[in-house]
Amino acid sequence: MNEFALRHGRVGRGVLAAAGAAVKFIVLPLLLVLGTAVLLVEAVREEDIVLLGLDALVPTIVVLGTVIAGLSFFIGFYPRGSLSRLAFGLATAVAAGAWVWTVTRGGRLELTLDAVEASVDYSPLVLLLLAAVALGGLYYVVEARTYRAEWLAALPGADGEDGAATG
Amino acid sequence: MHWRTFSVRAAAYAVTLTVVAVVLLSAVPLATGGLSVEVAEGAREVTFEDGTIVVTVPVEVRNGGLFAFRDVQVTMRASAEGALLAEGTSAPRDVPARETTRLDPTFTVDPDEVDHGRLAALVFEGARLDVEVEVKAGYSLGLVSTTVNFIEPMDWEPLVGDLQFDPSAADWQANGTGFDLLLPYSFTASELVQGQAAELRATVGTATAVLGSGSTDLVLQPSNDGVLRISVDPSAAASLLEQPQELVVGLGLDCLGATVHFDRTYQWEGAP
Repeated sequence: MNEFALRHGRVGRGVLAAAGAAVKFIVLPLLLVLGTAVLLVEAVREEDIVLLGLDALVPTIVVLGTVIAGLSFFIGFYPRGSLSRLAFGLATAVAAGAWVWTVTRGGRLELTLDAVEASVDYSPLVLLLLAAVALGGLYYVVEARTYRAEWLAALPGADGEDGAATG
Repeated sequence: MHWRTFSVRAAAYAVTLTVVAVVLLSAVPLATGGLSVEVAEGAREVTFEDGTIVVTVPVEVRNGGLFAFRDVQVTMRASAEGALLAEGTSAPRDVPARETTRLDPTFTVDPDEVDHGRLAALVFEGARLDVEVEVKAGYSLGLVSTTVNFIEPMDWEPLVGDLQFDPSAADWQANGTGFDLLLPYSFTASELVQGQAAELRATVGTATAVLGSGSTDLVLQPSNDGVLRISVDPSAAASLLEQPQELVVGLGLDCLGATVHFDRTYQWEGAP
């Protein structure tokens, strides 16, 4: 049985999952970046905002966020307990980890504003975020184990045995 | 949803929301003007203690965030023309949230460890020092650490200045075997080094030979005026008394291990 066959999936659920990921990895981060930029405009000069690299974050967020949304489509598309959902879940977690690492610049920020040089090390926060992403990947492993038998049993003509489904 | 999947997902959301909350509550208030590090205006203090120059440059750290800065340390490095003169670090201290805290880092300039030429410039000429201020602190429950560096220029006033002597105004006095040249001098000393020992040395001679010398030990006062007695060698005294010639008078001042030296030529007209 091919667990990646499109006949196992539902497009509506896939779209919902993709939309959720788009909100989480594109819309909210962009709003956060734009909101921060607006707040900074009042506190510092415009060229300082450029130095912070906020404008350069926008394409990164959009591109990587789109990849995550695309992968998330297949998470929602395939049912719980399927290996296909597990595979896309893990792939999405990896992509989300890359998103976190790239957008947060690895947890180090070096700035030079006029004669002031500043470096900020927030790598512990980034590691916490990566831990959350890893937990997100672990979720699909736990979910696959939890719902595996249930999904196999629901397959038309299946006898509910794992070996038959994966073979 | 099964409890296992629920607990894993809940844990992931909890960690994410915690990080987001920390960022929103800490980084954003600071990034929007809640953090400033400034050298307190006009509060520099320079003292002389145990043979070393101690400089205190107070730094005010304003924390407009919601978390205290932990273990804030200020390191100062003073340099002149690119050469490091001294370095000092303040004791670690917390800066509470919503408060401005003044830190008083000090650095000491030990004259024994400074290049003699540079020390002489500091003591007798003044200089423009570059004081690099480095502030290190932890924030957001230790999840964020930051380092801020900036250069604070500092005008260094000479410790001893306005050294003046005029050989043409020198008097002379017979001393039995020869004579002494009485050289008037004057200089000022800053409050920092008043009470310190200094030595004034002088020589008189021609372009090729030293004919006499003298020195005196001083305790520095705000204004130091006096007459330095230079004993001319008996063998040279006779010829000096008889014939006019061009003489060179050298005056040296030793203070804090640094030496400054000036030479003046003048026309000796012979004994009146």
